[in-house]
Amino acid sequence: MQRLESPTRPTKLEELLDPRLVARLSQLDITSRKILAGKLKGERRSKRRGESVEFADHRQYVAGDDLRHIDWNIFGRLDRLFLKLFLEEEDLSLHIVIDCSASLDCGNPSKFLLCQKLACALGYVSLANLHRLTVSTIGGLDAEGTPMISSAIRDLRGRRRLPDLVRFLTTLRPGGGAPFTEACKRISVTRRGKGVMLVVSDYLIKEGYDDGLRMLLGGGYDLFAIQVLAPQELEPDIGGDLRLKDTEDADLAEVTITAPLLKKYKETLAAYCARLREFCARREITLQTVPSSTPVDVLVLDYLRRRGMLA
Amino acid sequence: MTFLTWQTAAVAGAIAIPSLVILYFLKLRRRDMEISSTLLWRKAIEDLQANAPFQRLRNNILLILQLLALCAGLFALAQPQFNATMLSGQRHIIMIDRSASMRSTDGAPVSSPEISRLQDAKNKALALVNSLAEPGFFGSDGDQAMVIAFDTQSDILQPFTNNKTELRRAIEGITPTDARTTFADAFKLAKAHLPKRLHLDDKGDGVKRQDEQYDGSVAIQLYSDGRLPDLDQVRLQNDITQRDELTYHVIGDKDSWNIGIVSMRADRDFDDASKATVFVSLQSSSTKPRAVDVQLSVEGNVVGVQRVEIAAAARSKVAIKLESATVEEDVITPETRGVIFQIQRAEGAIVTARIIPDKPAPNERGDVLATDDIGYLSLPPARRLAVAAITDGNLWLRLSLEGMRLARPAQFMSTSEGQAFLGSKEAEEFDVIVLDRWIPTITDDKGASSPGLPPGRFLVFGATPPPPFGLDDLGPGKQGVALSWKRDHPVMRGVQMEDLSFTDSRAMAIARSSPVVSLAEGPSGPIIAESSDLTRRAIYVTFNPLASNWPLKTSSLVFLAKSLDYLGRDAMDTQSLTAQPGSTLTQRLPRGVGSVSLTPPDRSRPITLTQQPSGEVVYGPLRDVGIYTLAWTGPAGGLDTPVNNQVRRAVSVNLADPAESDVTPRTVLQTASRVVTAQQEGASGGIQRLWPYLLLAALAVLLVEWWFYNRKVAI
Repeated sequence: MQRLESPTRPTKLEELLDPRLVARLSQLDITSRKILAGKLKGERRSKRRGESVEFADHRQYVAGDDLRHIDWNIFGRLDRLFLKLFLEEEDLSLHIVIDCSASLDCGNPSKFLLCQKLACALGYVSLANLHRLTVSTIGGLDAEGTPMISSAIRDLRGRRRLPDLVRFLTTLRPGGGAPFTEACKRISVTRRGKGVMLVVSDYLIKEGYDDGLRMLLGGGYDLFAIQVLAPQELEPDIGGDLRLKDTEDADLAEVTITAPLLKKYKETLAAYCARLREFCARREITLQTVPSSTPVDVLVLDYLRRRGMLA
Repeated sequence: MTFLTWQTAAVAGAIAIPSLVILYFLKLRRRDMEISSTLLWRKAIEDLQANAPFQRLRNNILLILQLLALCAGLFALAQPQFNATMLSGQRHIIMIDRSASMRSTDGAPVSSPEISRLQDAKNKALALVNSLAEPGFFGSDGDQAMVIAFDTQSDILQPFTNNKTELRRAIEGITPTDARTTFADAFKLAKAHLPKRLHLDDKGDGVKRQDEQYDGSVAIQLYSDGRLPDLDQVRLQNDITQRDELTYHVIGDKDSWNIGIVSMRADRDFDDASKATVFVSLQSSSTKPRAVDVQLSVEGNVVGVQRVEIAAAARSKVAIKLESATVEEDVITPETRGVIFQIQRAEGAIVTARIIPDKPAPNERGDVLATDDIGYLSLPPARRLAVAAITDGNLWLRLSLEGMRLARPAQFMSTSEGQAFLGSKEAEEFDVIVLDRWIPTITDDKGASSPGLPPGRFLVFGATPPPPFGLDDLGPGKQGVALSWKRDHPVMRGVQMEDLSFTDSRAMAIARSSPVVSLAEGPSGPIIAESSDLTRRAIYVTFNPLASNWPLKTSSLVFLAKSLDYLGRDAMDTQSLTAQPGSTLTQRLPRGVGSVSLTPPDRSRPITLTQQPSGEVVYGPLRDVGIYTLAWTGPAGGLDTPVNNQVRRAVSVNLADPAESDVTPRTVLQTASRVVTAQQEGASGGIQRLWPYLLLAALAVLLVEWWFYNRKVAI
């Protein structure tokens, strides 16, 4: 739960992704419950029928249609003009939003480290499948240590952009508060197209997560939410008379840890998570709550595949 | 339960408890910890209201534990105690009986390891010392105590002090003795150290008034088995202003029993002095019939063992009236039995009788007192008597003496020769001198002459010297017969006096503080009497035998033989060679001996004694039973045995006290003025101080708090 004095900061790809995991990730692709249109022709089927080789349907010719798509075989048999319709292959936008507020920099193992690894793994899958990848942050510190509302690296495509992704992820500095709603507003305004959006946070947001998530939903994105909690947040192992200091807003809470208080804390946490789950379920947001001790390969290869994000 | 210094504790509590609570508010130092979000914690503690001022302390186990520890400490400061009717500043006189009966090994229950009564008494006295109030913080003096140990002697081992270390050292230093108990002297000694009533001239007008602040009361703590034969001489103060509080801590088990040797004597046969008869008297305080072996040894060699069965001691209940109630006490009347051994030994010897009790059954106590299981006797060498008679003519006396077996024929002389004879050295060669109707003249230190007896042993017929050694002659007496006589006296044993009648007698009276003891009484006073002091012994027959029918009776011959034997044995009497522990050894040695030494029974370093001008050596008190051997160079007396260049005389010291051998503890003490019952068992610890336990409890609570604190703050 408490903030570590010197948390682990990965500096290169190998520290974010195990090579054996990379091999397994190469076989995966991002999926969506919706087939979404992209701007560029990619390796992904779009609902828009287009020019791919995969036949989709026929329709009657109307004036102005491209004559190259007339099915001449049917015209020979039926003496009527029908157009052959093909499923057009389009690229997929994957937008990963990482909460970089100071609260993510807590726990052992660090919640933020898991976020970095998860973003890197999903980003790799996306790049490997020629999808368009955007990674945005909520909060965080810039190079000078000044709190930011949001930052992003946009429109990465192809494996060659993997170093850019890694560089971006490793230079992220968690800190400051979590202007969640404001950051979500900016992300929703600035994002382009439609696709899959993954929001990774601990969702311990004092101003509330409702407005922010609602804004992200508005863009028609297939939204996934990953809630990362430290094991120490799930099972506090603290004791004595404590002055708890909020790492984001320096709010102080004086507590004397007793068995009733611990019981109450767990009840509060469970209620909080249940409310988040209900919020997501009502809005078709896929929520997965994981402890930060979860190995990233288990999270990606097991949890997210079961949730239908990867195939 | 009372509190000795409750004011101190109240003041301290009024300061300390609020201070602790306030300090706890101030000192509630919370450890800072940075966490991801206080969101959930705030919601959690909202219900618990953890920040309300007093609710902050709610369920605060550390504060509760600290308050508990503080309360225990404050409670200890008040010096609570159980069974404490006495106030601080009390004076205690701890009197511990160290007599022979306190050697009994029933100081602990049967199931526990054996300890003596004395050890039990010491333990209980130490418990009392431990419970004495310490001097308080605000000037109270605390309890004071003094320690007296007593047997026949009383010793103050520690005067009044509140120093517990000194008191403990004094009590632990008490060792058991084989002596008898004399409580009255010890009580007088204790009383002598009580604070005296003060009369002050506090107004300066020359009138001394009683000090109103005076508190002369004192608590006497008596640790004894109650075998105190002289209790009737003890008078406890019962005044309102000064009442002696005697707390009797009874020591010993009422079911204990003992079989002991209460007397031992040896008599040589009058006709054959090489034969001796040893009489051993046993006493049993067991309420069951018991059988023991009595073994007799002469100079360490066993010469006889006899199986003796002793009937059960009688148990009865005696009602004793107290000030407010009547209590019943079990009284056990011991049973006695005698054993007789015949031995053949002309030489002097140490004779030892030993009781060998049967092994007790499991879970049953055996004979608890070993001190009286052995008896010693110094048997002097066999010797016949040498007798001289000073008479102006007495046919009965002459014929009687000539017919007796003596060392040599009795020597007769007239009264005119007798005066010179008694002043000569020749007289010392005779064991007994018979005076017939004549008293010699002696010269005292101032040169005045008067009728009297010189040092020696005399049988006097028809005359007596004046008091104090003799009797008061009141003039002519009545003719008559013997009215009563002491049948158990060695002289009178077997002497038939019923048919005696006399016509010429004197009216006699025994002067006050005279050593004279009447053996037979006639119509005008004693007709036969005995008198003795350190240098003389005499038996007087106050009537004229020739003016009576006595010479015609065999009883006169029996009396003559017994008297000569009794007086003659005085020179070689075993009785003079015996003593009791606690008494002083006094032996008259032949004149002119040099370098007298005394070897005690434990054969430790001999003690050098100095012979006094009267010829006596004195040593005492005798602490232990056994044989004390006097040795010197020079002439030997009739009791003595020459060994190499030395002469030796053995004196046997035996407990020989029925009161000490009766080990049944008394639960009720009847003094001259009051009856005191034993303190109830369980309350015998006296005052039970609680403050050490409270301090321990406080320490334990602090330890629990420390453990709890560490457990709580562990991450």
